[in-house]
Amino acid sequence: MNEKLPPSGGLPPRHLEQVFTPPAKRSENLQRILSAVPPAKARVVPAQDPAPSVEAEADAAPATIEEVKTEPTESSRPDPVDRAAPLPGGSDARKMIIVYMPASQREWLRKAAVGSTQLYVVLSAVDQVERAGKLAEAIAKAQQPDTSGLFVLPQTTRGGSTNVQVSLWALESHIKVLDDLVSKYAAPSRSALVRAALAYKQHHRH
Amino acid sequence: MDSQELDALRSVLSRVVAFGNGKGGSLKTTLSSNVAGLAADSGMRVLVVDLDPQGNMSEDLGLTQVGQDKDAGESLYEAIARRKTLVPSHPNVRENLDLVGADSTNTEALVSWLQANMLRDEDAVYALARALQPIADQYSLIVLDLPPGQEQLIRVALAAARYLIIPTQADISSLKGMELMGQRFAKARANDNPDLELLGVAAVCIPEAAKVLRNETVAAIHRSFGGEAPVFGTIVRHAAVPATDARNRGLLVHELETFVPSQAETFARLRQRAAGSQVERAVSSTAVKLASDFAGITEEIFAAIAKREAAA
Ligand SMILES: Nc1ncnc2c1ncn2[C@@H]1O[C@H](COP(=O)(O)OP(=O)(O)OP(=O)(O)O)[C@@H](O)[C@H]1O
Ligand SMILES: [Mg+2]
Repeated sequence: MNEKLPPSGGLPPRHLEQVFTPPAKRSENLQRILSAVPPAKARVVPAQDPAPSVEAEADAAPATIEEVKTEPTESSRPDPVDRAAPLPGGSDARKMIIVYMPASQREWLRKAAVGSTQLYVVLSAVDQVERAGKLAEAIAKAQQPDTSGLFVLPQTTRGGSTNVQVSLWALESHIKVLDDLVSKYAAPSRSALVRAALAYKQHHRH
Repeated sequence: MDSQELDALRSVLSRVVAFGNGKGGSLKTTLSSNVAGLAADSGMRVLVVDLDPQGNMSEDLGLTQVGQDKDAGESLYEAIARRKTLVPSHPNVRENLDLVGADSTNTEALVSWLQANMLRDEDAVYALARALQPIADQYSLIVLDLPPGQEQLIRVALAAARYLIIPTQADISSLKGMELMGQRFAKARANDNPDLELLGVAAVCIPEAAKVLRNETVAAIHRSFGGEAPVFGTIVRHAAVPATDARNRGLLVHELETFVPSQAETFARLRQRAAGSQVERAVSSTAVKLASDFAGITEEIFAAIAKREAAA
């Protein structure tokens, strides 16, 4: 045969490329398979007012690294609309609400709740302070910045403590009472109301 | 604990996945770290909790080289024994990935604490669930890496988890470890956590070419569970070189694979070596195949969770 042997070009240069170079991103399909927010969490009621108040934003704006870990930022929270969806069943259904408070206050709450529930301690504190006519004062006091030090520290980092989440399993009627009090006293948020009532109880023990 | 409190725990802990097998070395840590890493890479916020005093999770996530994993278990001990807020010992070990680590001193101390308290307080079994509850809302996925033994740690983990995944190798010892884990699972469901589900058994560490062994192993898993078991379709291949490289370098496998040299680089190294230069061993291209196995099984795990959530 006098036909010329074709040159040995080998395989085209890109042919084996995918054996050596991985695809763009291994995790690219995952987002399509499972949503970031589980349905159970979509049932949680937000602790913030629907329109974010000054303090609700202060709650969400982390001042320290630790705070990022203990308080989710607004962007990492599920959509407020989803979170407000009620649990099925009954006109006075139970819902999970989350309130934010300093870790030290949560410790106190835990201890106070031994033998009962944290919800009970929270509701009875609010009830007691309100009946004593001291709720407005307690809310105002809880909002004053700490001026004892050299610098005025933002609320959420006062005394170096950071706010942590406490979840309470409350009836809708409980939540309504709390929210009515929030509007009545123009408290910045449900969390602020709860913090104020608990702080008042902590400091006025009989 | 009353049933309302338990319901509240369960609803917040709906995406807690435990990886367990009663046998050591069954890839619990390798599988859980890689699944968690891929989930975080996809944009989910993920928390990994290492419950093994060996603290191997820190190695897989690259924390050991400069002793960053010292006292890694302190935060979990403090959260459970002293009821402090659980703060990840290593936040942001990767983008979107936080770690609650383990170490021999603190995690052993936690075991002693659990031993003492589980005897006198029946709620102590929910100690981990309670520690996770206030922070669970921040995460789309929480992964628990279980030790092979340490019954107390395993029990509190199964009381906190929603799903269990059992990785098993092909050998009889690993399969026995799977059966032991199956018994713990049944007990946990009966006594502590009726919502716990076996999401699947993962056959791991079987060479890709060993087709017969792969089939035999899957059949053996089904037999162990009385004929029908949820077994993931993806089998994680045996690939000791990239698995070792990944752990020794503190990289997850999908991270390691990005260091697999391109064809051009491979030939350049070959030329260098031919010319007598010392060339460091390249990352094996098997890393690409192993990474594809982990991506495959993670997709299956996600699909299994999505299916249950849609049905709920
Ligand atoms: N695909 C693989 N092929 C071969 N070996 C592997 C593979 N993946 C991991 N290994 C090796 O198997 C060993 C055990 O893995 P790993 O630590 O994940 O198991 P484990 O179940 O968590 O062990 P322990 O019970 O000690 O916690 C490790 O040395 C690891 O490098
Ligand atoms: Mg391990």
